[in-house]
Amino acid sequence: MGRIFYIISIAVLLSSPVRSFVGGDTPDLTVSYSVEVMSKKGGNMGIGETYNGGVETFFTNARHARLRLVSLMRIQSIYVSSDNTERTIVKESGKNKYVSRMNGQEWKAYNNKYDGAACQLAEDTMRVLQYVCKKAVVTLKDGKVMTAWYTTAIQAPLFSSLEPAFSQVPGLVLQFEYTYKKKTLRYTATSISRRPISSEVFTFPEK
Amino acid sequence: MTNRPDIWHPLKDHEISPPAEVCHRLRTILEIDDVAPDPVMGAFMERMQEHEVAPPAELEAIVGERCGVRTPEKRKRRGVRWYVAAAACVVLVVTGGIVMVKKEKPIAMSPAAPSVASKPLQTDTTNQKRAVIKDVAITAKPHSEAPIKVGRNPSFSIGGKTVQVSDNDLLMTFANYTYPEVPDYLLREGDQPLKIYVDQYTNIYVSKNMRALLKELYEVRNNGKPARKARKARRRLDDWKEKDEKRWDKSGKANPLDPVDLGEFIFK
Repeated sequence: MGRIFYIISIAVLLSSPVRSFVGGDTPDLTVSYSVEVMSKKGGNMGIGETYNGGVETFFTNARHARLRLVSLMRIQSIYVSSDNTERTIVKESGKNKYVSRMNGQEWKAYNNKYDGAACQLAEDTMRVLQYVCKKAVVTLKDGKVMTAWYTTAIQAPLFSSLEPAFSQVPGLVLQFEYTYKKKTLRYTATSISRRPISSEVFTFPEK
Repeated sequence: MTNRPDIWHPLKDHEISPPAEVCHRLRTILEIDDVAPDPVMGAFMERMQEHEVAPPAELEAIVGERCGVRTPEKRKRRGVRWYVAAAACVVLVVTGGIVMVKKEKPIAMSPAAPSVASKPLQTDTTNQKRAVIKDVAITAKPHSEAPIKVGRNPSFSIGGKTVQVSDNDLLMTFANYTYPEVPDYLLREGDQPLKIYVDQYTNIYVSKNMRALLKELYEVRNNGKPARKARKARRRLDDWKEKDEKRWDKSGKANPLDPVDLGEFIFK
């Protein structure tokens, strides 16, 4: 009986549903982040209210990734694939929609504020959804600071291709925030899904 | 015959003493001729009759074999560990089965690429390599697991009711209703954010402060014309829109999906 138990255990553990259940090697991943704009004093955030309550969604599979922001003010996406360094920015809302492409060098210049950024990993922990996350503090060379909470239980190599601030964080960031002039912009993961993603999610118009 | 173990001699010599009390009473009874039957002794004797002593196991097996009597095999008692292992097997198999059965359907959502062009392309005048894309529709099928379809007429839903979105621009859609088409959810005060269903992974919220601003947009005077507050709210929204486009679309140097860029823009 003991022998049968061990055989069944190994068979079930090796089967893909269980592995994907624990965030194993299933590449498809969808993470939705709520966007919150806040200050200690509260009150009206002005133009920030048009982004407050928005959602940023990260889609990825083995070869592609997309980051999409949906808010009252605008809907915009950035696409990347693992086989090239090009990023494609697509503005999907408003009268003037557009598609813009950047090669690797242009993308690097676009994000040059993150060059030389230091990432300090702390032992503090916090729970986001069902994941125990550790703290990372990213300090840019001009002194700006971002705080991130990440989990090592999920790895998404293409996440930092679209969020270069977190290129040194050893896991998937589930909450991050930036405070400027005593006001905070916070992104918090509200759902994580391993469901297969249709290839059309990663398809963008040519022009 | 000579090789078989001799069990009879040891059996012949094998004796078991009766219980001590019985032995004593027996002796008493046997020494007295005329004695009334002792009821207590009688009961003892009956119990003695029923009293059994099992023979040694090896002898029992051999005697049974010789006499052709099959002794029932003793059932092996299964320990608790066996039952625990069996239960764990069942749980593992059931769990694996449930997870496999609930295998999710592929996620489909609105791509940026529409299936049908609705307008001719226009050339953007900015420095960057850009081309205006065709209308992108985000049509939500509320409260359903069906994949999102891309169509000509963008829509989203509030409170289960589908609403058309112009140019996929939620803010301008909310700001450009004309009476009497202004929806109730824009005219009522609300302490709670207004939830907008866009697709299966996107529910956005209109904050309380934003709801208050949108409500102001539709305040009217007695003559039906927009109130001063409404005109002021309209100018503010138009100003925000212009600043937003100037920052993200015309400069080409900042990214609204970057938290530092977005934070510095909205908090300055």
